[in-house]
Amino acid sequence: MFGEDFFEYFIFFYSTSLIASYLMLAIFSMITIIRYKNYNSNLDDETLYNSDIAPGISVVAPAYNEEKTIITNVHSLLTLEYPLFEVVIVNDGSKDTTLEKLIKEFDLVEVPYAYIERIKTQPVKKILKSTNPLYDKLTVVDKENGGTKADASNAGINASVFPYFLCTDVDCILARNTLLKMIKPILINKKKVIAVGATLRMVNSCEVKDGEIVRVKPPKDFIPRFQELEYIRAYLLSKMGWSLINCVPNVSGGLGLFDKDIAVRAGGYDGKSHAEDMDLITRMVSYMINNRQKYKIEYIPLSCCWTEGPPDVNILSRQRTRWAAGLLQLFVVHRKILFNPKYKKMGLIVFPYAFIFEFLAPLIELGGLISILYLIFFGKINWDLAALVFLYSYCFAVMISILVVIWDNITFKYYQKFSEVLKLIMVAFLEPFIYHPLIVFFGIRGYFKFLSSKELAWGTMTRKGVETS
Amino acid sequence: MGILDFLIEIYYEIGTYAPIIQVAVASIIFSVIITISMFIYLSVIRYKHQKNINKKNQIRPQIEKLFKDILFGDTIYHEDEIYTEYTKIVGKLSARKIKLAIDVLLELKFNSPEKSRRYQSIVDALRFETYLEKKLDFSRGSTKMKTLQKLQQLDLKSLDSKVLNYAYSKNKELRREARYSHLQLSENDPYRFLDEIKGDLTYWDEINLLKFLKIHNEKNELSNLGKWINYSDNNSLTVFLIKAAGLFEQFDTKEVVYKKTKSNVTSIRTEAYRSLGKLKAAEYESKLIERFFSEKEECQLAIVRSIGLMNTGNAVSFLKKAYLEAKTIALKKEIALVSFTYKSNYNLFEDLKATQDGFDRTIFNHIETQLIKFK
Repeated sequence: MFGEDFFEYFIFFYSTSLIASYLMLAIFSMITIIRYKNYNSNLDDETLYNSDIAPGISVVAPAYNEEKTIITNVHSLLTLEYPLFEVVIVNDGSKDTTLEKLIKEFDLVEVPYAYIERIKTQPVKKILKSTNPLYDKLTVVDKENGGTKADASNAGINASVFPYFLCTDVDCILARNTLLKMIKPILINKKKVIAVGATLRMVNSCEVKDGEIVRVKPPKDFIPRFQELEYIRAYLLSKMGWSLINCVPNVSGGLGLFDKDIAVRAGGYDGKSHAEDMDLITRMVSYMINNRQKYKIEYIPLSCCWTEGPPDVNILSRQRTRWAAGLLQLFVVHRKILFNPKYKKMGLIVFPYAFIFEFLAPLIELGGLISILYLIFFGKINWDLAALVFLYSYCFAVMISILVVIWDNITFKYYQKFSEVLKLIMVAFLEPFIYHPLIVFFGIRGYFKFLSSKELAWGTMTRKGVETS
Repeated sequence: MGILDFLIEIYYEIGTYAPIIQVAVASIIFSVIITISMFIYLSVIRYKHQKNINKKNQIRPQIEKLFKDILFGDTIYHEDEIYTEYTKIVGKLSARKIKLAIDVLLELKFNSPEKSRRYQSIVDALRFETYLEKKLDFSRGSTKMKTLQKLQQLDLKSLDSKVLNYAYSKNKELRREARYSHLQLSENDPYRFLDEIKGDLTYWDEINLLKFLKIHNEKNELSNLGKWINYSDNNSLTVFLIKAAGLFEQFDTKEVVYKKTKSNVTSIRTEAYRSLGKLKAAEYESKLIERFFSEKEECQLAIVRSIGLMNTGNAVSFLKKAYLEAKTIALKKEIALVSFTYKSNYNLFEDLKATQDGFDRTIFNHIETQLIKFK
């Protein structure tokens, strides 16, 4: 009896704490979003674009078997609006025709490049530059496969020349003003900003022309549409909220701008990590704390990056299994940070929150499921109470999702039609029944795979490619 | 039984349940009410947005056509004619319609290939000043800040005294924008806030200050920055002004910039060394060479770059010695880069390259490869 009561109270306390944290994040994110909206304008972009002293940015994009999307997306990266930038594509030993396509399209030739291996990576075979002046900003690094995106990103950082680098994936399409928007928090802060993130969305049903998004639409397929809502929630609510108190847990691997000097001093991405983005931020923050330097990690509420979301359950499964394994790996590798006051907010807020509400959540949900089955089997379940508790979390989940859709519409109305917004709202009602159980299952599978030391792939995803007009 | 009685009954009944159930019910009611309210709010903002877009799509092309005619056409419009023609399109003039006119005018001013001298006629005819003045008087800080930006874009000097009111605002974003605006719009004393900058400048401050100094420079109205470089006790501002003096090639500031190479602050010395090159201060070349071997690396890099920019042809032996004694890749690379374009009868670049092997040799190959844009 005591055991059942304890579990009930524990679950209730756990879910109430989670709900309270979401409410807190909702308030925090509202403050940061309104502040951002009030004190930023397009004139800032123009000022920066015309400036003679804007700091240079290297756009680093690793590629592994990306033959379907590589050309469109590299063209897209080359048309970014910024006064001083380069694009570094790292071919991580692709087995398909990624490199051949790049060479042919951009007239690449091998050059003698003074490549300094500031971060250890798998050997670089050659570095290529274009003979066509139109593509003089492009550098292609061809290296041996390192098994992870982290290793490829590190090679790109080594080859980059500017003090800031923007890490993205070659399957991502960036908004033209991404660099102008993302560098601003670094420029405007007196405190050192070591990383800046922005929102990612799904490119799946968007209209793309010449490597640029010309019309944003919610994905037609359900899996990417669920993911679109999940991303907006994660970025606009969670990360924007945490940025108010400088507790951003990670800057996405799909789109993040970093201070190169700090990233290199922190050792770059961990080549063995499967959550390389959170790992890098953890190490950069640890470096700053260990060296008694003040730092900030910022987020902007704009959607700057569109990525191809997993179109079906199989591919989603691969992606989420890897992320979950990466999360567990992170807590194993950086276990000394958890609840450690020496690491300040990182040790006492960021890590404990991620551990309790992200890492443990799938396990607790699994425990809940098992206990429900047990109660049903022995006829002990109180159906009224079960329905009430379900409604309690369901109603709150829907409310939070609609709240972020509003945040999104306040920030910028990406969808042209209200019917498209409704499509997104619709999945908020379905998500707890369809998408969430899948995510919980893949999460547990990821933990199991990590613990049983099963090999996890590079983050490969079978691409459909984006239709361009 | 009415709904109210029903709710009261439920309220009392729930009061008898366990606390967990009470919290859950309260939370469900809260979530449902908020969700419905938010949905209604979302519908309203989307409806208004769509209505605005439709309206804009309908009248904006007509406004653009009218403004193009006024600005670039053969006919000269009087103010009352502009007013009449504009109100014919949009109806009675209101704040929103003036805002639309400002947006269209700015779009034409900055994105049209043609330039006009008649922007002011539209500004006066449609009373932009009165509208913007009201915005400055009766709106919140962020709107005031965006209004100040509009003043800058429209180059409305007549509201300079209004701008000054906000130059000491407690709102730091507004204060900063007001000072930028003053720098652009004031005709009496645009630089007064250079003396009042406290603390370190952010990179963003530098970018904006440089933008407004550039506007003055393009009109040949930029003051000699030497006096602020000389007297400013703000190190961050001094660094910026030395940089600006170099960028705007204020040759009269050479002496004061050179003085700053003796500063105790490394960042000031570095910027001063760098700017001397941009100012082509060849008369100080020997002094820079003398200082080189006792300086910190960032200063050494600046000296080498400056010597490259001076390009006198007299520093070959110095560059060679500096290269041979250089301990870091960054310095070796900088010297190799300068020697590649250095004008002299003696081909220093080839000479140094011939003696190098391994990675040092690659540095030379890297530098001479034209395909590598950013060395």
